[in-house]
Amino acid sequence: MTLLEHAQVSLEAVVANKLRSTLTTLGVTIGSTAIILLISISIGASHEVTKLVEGLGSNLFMVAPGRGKGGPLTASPSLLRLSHAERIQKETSFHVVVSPVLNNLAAVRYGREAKAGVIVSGALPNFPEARSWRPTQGTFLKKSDLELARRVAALGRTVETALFPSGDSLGKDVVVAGEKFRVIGVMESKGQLFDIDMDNQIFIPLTTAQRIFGTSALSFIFVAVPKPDDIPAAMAEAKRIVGQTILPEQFSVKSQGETLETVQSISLIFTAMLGSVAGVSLLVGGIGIMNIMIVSVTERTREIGLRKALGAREPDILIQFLSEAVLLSFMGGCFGVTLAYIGSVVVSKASPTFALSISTFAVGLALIFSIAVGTFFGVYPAYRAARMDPIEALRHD
Amino acid sequence: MVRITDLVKTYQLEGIEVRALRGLSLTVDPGAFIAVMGPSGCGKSTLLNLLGCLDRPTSGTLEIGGVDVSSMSPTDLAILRSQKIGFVFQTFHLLARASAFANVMLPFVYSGYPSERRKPRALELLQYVGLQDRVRHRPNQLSGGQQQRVAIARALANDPGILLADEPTGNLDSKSGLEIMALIERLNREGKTIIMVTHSRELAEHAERIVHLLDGVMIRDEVVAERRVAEVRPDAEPA
Ligand SMILES: Nc1ncnc2c1ncn2[C@@H]1O[C@H](COP(=O)(O)OP(=O)(O)O)[C@@H](O)[C@H]1O
Ligand SMILES: [Mg+2]
Repeated sequence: MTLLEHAQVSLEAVVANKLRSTLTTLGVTIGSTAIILLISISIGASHEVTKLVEGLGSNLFMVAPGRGKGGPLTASPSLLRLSHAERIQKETSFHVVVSPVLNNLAAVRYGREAKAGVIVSGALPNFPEARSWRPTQGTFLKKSDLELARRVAALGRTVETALFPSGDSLGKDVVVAGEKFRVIGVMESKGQLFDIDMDNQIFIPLTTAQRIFGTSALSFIFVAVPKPDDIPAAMAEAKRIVGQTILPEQFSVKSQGETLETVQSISLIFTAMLGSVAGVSLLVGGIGIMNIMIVSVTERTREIGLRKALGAREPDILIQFLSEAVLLSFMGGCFGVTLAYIGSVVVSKASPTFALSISTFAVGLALIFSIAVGTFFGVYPAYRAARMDPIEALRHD
Repeated sequence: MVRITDLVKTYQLEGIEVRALRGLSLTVDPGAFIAVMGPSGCGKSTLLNLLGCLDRPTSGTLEIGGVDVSSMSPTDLAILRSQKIGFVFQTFHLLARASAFANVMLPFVYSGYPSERRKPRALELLQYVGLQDRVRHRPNQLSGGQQQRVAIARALANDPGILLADEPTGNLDSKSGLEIMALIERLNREGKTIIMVTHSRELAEHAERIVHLLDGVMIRDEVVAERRVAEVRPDAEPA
């Protein structure tokens, strides 16, 4: 008996019980949908994470006020001062770029256009180097801008687009906190970092920022080291240096790597959840297929007896029922692919920032899994069918 | 030629030995037409199943075409069944969801019959049994007699030398039964060896020889003096 003949016999049996076959495949359908989404999401997430690492610079760490969580707009009063940044720069054994910033939220206005909730970031001229974030037009802040506490600004892309739809911002004066700032540059786009639009930001001299916000505190001290491998040692040094003047709970030192680890562990939890859904539904689906195959074998006992009387050998019967189980399971896999595809389209429509693309690898894996499940759970019923005694099978009623 | 010697078949039923055949010897010449008679439970079906290699004897030998099959492997037995033996059952055993045509096609996959010759062969067989107009009908759309014709066409698929029929007319009315007998006679005339189990003395008299069984032994081997012939006009349309 050829493979094609086996396939034909199995297909006929599956088609003969359309509703039952479809219901039987449900478990495997859900399982393979979960597998596909799971892998596609984690591939997507790891792309996202890689993008973040590249965007932030993998050789960067930062000193933040408070303990651990201090986001860019931390509420707790910061005890970080310029002196800390200077001492890190002086005292570490690495060739570091230390770039402190003072961030605050403010509205930025140009003529009748205004943008509220913009991150106004007081920075040093070395900021582009430390963060690998450079102007695409004009220049960044210069040393003299700092020394003279000039009112000049480099705009983030979002701010520029909002205030200058035609893109001619250089040399214009924008208003921040009631004061006019001359636009000297436009920064390259950095996109979203988690849920914060990094481009909704403007950079002004740190000295100017301290004056208009009336504080000498710092929001962050960014430290770039020559090689990513230097980060742990440099972090330890920075911790020691800052710790000489303020208490350990009043600041924290964290690397982007740690932030990314948090993201990755969240995506790992998600992966594990979907993974167990996939595993459980494949298991349930497999048991469902086994169950329906046992029913099918029992229902068709006389058919099995007849086939044997007509010359079917044990392997013929085994393959017939095994391929029926695999066919059912594979159908479930194909339904799963369809469902996952529909799901990805729906998700992408609903939230354009979270573009979920189905990976070919995931589809392949889900189909292989579905075939494996069918084979594994189909063997026992098929074996039972193959081993039936032809006479007893023919007499069965 | 089929030859059995001292054939014994014992079943174990909940620890009790059921002796279905107790030392039966019989020789069937090629092209013979034999009827097997006897009361219910005397071992007729057991004998037929052994002849059809569906079961193995407890002791004794069974030769088909000069080959001792009692020691053959299950695979070889399956091949033998598919090529040398055709079965006809009392309850037809057609696949309910398949058409007459598909039922006749069934044995081809197991014998490796050349695929391009399967369709014409199946149609030819359906024509042979008079069902050329019922090719696409399913069993539940056919009368009992017609269903048994499909079963006979299926039994003939691989052109076996031996046809084993276990009460082929047992589920049929007498008219359809006679038509089936006519078909079996015709097959015998064309050279098939027929071994047929029946309860009816009248039907048995269509055979050339009647083997009488009782409690697993042969009590009489009768040559039919005046054979009956199922009278069917050659041009008659079968029902
Ligand atoms: N599989 C079996 N297990 C136990 N006993 C059986 C089995 N098959 C047949 N028998 C017994 O063997 C005897 C002969 O059965 P069978 O050949 O079917 O009789 P017949 O066809 O002549 O009516 C009966 O007594 C029957 O009960
Ligand atoms: Mg019987």
